[in-house]
Amino acid sequence: MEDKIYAYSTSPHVKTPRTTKKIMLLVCLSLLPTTITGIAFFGLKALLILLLSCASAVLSEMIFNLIAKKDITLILKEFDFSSLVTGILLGLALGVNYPWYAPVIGSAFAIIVVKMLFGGTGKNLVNPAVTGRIFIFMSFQAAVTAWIIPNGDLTTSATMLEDFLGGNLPTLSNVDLLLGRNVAGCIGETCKVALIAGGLFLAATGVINICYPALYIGVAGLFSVVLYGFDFAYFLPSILSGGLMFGAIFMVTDYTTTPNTATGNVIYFVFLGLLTAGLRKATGMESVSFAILLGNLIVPLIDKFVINRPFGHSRTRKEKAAKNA
Amino acid sequence: MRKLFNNIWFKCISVLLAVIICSGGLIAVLSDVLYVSPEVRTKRALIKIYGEEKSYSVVIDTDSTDDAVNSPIEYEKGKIDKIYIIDKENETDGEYDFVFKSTGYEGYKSGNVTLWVKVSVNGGNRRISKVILENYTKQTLMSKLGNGYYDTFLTDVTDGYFTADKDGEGVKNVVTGATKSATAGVNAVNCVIAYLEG
Amino acid sequence: MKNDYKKIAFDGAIKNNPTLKLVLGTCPTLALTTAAMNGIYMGLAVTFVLICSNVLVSLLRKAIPKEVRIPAFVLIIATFVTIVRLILDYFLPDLNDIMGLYLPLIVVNCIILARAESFASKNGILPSALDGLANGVGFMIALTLMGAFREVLGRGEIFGFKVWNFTLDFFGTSAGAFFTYALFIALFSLIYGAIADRKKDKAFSPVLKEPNGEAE
Repeated sequence: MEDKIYAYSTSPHVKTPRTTKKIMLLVCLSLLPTTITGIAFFGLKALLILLLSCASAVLSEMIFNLIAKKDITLILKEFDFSSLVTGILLGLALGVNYPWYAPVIGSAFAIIVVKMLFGGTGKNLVNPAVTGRIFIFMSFQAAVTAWIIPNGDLTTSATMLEDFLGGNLPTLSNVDLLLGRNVAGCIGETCKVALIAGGLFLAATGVINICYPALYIGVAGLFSVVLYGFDFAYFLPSILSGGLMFGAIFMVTDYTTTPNTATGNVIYFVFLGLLTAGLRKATGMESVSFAILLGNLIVPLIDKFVINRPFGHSRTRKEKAAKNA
Repeated sequence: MRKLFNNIWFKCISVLLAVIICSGGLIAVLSDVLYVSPEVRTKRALIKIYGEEKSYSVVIDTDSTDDAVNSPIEYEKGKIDKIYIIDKENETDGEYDFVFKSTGYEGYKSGNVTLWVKVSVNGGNRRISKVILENYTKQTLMSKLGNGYYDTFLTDVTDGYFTADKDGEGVKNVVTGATKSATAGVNAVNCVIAYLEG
Repeated sequence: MKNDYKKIAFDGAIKNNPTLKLVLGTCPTLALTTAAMNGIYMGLAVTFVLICSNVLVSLLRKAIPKEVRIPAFVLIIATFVTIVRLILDYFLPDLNDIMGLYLPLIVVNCIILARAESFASKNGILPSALDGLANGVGFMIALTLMGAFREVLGRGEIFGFKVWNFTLDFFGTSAGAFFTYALFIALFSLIYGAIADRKKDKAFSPVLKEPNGEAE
């Protein structure tokens, strides 16, 4: 018998060529339409904010790794583009009239405090982009007086969402809201068509499961309808205004901060939908990021209580019935 | 008898009673020594309002012994405890200051808010020129009523009553999150306006 | 004996800092770190109550039966807090306004009750007083540092003097208070751990000697 050389290896024995780096690059690609429309609507300041946010995110992760005494070549080899994605998401979640140092500080906070201090990629407790956005929102309120309509004049006005939360049906048509014409808001959240395109691209490549964001958006819309007195005219505007679509497609679907099981996911997204609509009605301001943050904190609880049936386990009732029969 | 003295409950209760009586005595003595009289409180309030001590003549003062001036002026939502007229160095006719100490009811948990209100009278024109907080009972969110809140009261007396209700009538006050305490403060100022108008 | 006193003082102020290591008394910490000066005022009030209550509890430690020790301690602490309030109302009424609701809350400040329960009821008068002083000073330093941090970043001032025009309103809010507290606890553990490790390394570094005779 010839001596065969067996190669030892532990599981997993089946590997896919899909790596974290590739997934993050796919997400960056899907954010491209939104970025382009955002810059087209809001001008070069938007580009500046995005660049600053990305640069700050990537640099802060590298500097943190350097301080933690990792080798520079190792850092560059291990660089998965997750901090770049966080930077882009955070930049897209800001309005245009934030000062230039806002995305820098916010990105650094998001990456260092929310991601790196908890253990790096895949170990964050909450979504870093959402927390960074909340941090910037709470820090620079005085600097942001109102939102800017992108109709060339860059005049300021309240967002459609604030109008709508005051109880009036918005004055823009649904098509306008969909395309983002004359809609005031954050850089990335105004053109819904671009967002939907990005979302479909991600679903087609298998990065996200499109049912869950759809569930979140649907439940939020339905609950808004309920809260405003069962008036169905509120359904489309409540979905299409504010940061709901942007948050639902890109921010909530972060792998780390969603439950592990299908049932858990359903519970999580329904809960998020109810919470978003409820908080919007109760506080009268855009509360998607706060709802997502609260939801993220509940995910470990959902994971603890929703247990999948183990492989091979059969219910005791059937066993008892089989015994008695 | 021995058994009673050695019983653990007797010891516990007697020790607690001893502590209570001693501390009670100490606090009683000290609060007498460190007593802050109403005149001193008035003086402190005037220093806060004017930046220096002022002498005043009494119109109403519930803490004085003179029966002619020591009944408060009561309204439905508050009362006025003290009304002073401030002596001015250069007496110009028709120009003087009132200082009111008024209490507004209907605060959080039915508590009160007591304010000092300074009204400057110039000929026929009467204007509220400063409002400061004296004290309050049972309110927990008084820190939410900042300088902006007290500055909204600085209007002419004829401009009308105030309200802290965002749907009510009158000159509105913008309150962040402490509606009941703000209502009590507003009632206190409204009492002053009612006294001057009525 | 002197070594004992040094150890008590060091433990109380730095090694077992009540705010940053034992995480006691978080309520005034979170509420009064909005300005550095508030930290100093609160620290002084708490130090005074700590020393007085520690001394009195230590005096009475043989007399109070252990079944009622907690109510007795709380009574003693409440007495001293009332005395502090009377003194402040008479001599420094502005401080009374600034500290507001948090002055009566010193009664249930966990630091004072914890030191009374764990130290003063078991040790003599002078060590108890020193322990009270050390803990109070530790509390005051922690609060002042956190207050300065939040004031500089949140309002651009320090001790009331304007430093720069840049503000991050986040640090003026309650969320910022929690975040600053967590940051300081982490920093304290990091710095103290690093210093303690270095001391340990110096104390126990093995002395390597070449064996006599042939090498290897």
